[in-house]
Amino acid sequence: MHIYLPIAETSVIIFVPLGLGALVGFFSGLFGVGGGFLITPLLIFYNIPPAIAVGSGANQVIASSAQGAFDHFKRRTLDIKLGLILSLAGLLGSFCGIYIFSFLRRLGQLDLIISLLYVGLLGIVGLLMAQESIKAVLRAGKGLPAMVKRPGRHNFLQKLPWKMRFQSSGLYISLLPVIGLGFIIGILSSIMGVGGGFILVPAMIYLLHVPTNIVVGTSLFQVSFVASFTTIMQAVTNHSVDIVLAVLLMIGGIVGVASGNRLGRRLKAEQLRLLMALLILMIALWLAFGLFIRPAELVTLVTLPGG
Amino acid sequence: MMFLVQAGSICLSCLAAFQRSKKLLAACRRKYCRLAVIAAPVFIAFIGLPTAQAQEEPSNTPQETLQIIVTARDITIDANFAGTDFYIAGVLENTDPLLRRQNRYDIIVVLEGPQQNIVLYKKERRLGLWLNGSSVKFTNVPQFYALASTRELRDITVPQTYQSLGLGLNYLPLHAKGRLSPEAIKLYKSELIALKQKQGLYGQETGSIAFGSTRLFSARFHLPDNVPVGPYTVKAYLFRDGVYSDEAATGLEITRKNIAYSLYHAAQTQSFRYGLAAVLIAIFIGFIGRTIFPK
Repeated sequence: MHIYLPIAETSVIIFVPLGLGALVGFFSGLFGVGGGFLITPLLIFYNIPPAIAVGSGANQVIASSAQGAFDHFKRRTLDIKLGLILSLAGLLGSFCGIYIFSFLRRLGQLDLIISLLYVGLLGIVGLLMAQESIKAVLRAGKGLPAMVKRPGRHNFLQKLPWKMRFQSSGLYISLLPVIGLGFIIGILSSIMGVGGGFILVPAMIYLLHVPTNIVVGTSLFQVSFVASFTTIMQAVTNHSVDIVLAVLLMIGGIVGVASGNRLGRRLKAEQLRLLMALLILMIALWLAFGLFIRPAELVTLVTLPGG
Repeated sequence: MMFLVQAGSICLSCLAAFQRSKKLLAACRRKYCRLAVIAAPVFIAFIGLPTAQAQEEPSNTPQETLQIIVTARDITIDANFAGTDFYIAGVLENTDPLLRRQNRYDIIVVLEGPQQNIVLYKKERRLGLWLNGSSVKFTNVPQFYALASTRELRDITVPQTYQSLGLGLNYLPLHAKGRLSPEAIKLYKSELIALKQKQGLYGQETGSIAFGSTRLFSARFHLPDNVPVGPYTVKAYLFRDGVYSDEAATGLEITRKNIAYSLYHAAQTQSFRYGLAAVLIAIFIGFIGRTIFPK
């Protein structure tokens, strides 16, 4: 059964976007990330033009992260205050990111920068998470109590001014690292076309020492905010949001997010972190191979607008 | 579904028309054959002789021509479009029946899509990384190019003819911008064509032209599911004994219809509202998702 995608100008078998949505939704529900870093490369792999993959992917990310965020809100595992500050700083970052994006495009090596950013960031984040979570899993295996780190006892971030209390997270921290983190995520998300959850989640755990159970909900909240902004920006500047494709991905995503959530609640926090680290490392490796291995096509075709 | 039924009925009526005209022509031939045998010398005596004297050439048969029609001016793409077959009908006039019977007439029909400017980057290896290197810009590249022919192209006529007509993938007139050697441009060109062929947007098919009678023919094209929308041209070329003798052209339009059109139109003209709607739909679906699968 085929369905025509009016913006992508191609017809696809209906089960492909449904299946892709379910797959990405599963990881989204499991780890509390938007899944943008998964869906965009997958859509490009399926011959959807890159700009439309970014725009429609961002649109789908809203649905899967909102679904999770609604749930966390209900279970009170969402720090709205923290999420809002991160999101507002993120919007500011996104604005700056759009200018950086067009600057890089003028240089002609946008693809390369995006790939290097992906490989570098995913690689570092994945390695750090893997190292920490393997230690934690081993400790748990020996029956030792999980490492209890009193939040920010010896953290330089604790010495910064403008402290604010975040009741839901049980934190009393400076606003500066929160705004800085949101800002950086905003820049990255508009350059890379992702929500930034895969960086936000570990950063909140390791830098801000937000309790793990709150991290996921708050990250989902922030991701749905940033993805909404990206979607509208893409729709206005590039007309590259294919709503038919996005809705199919979302419908598949509903099932995926729900089953990911279910599995997520059965696993221990450190196991979850280890799995996420492995997934991130796998994607980093896949993208790195793309940079170093001789490509199948030795030419890249770019369509100029208004031809 | 409607579209498929419509397309099917068009194909059927097309075929039926073919069958009918085939029978009619056959009947005509039988009935008037004897008459023609008697009438021909008389006719030539009256009219043919003076012209035969005027012309020095041994053959006094008039120049053969061809005409084509498209069965539908518009091909519409609706939400359930999955590619379709498309027929172009044509008729040959003033052909030599003997040559026709010996299959010495050849037809090539080209369906060409809307044009576009593109840039082709060559991937080059620098510091171990594969990245976009030198580039070349091609202007007015057809987004779609399908060629149907009665026989293999190399059996129809010589390369010089294809070259002068700009006919066939090998001789596609692509204009490159940039200071590159002709050899380099040729290489880029063949890469471009190979890429388009891989996407199913460029193709040459032999034997997709069928003769309904000695004079009627139809050319079949497959429009793939990723066929670009826009204005198309159809050009038909007639060859006699490998010599180009006539061509005919017509146009058609491939357009989005109904919901496919409305969505595209909204995305182009009311982009902010379209984006906002996309966001709201996403949040709504997320909310529905949570309601269906409560924890």
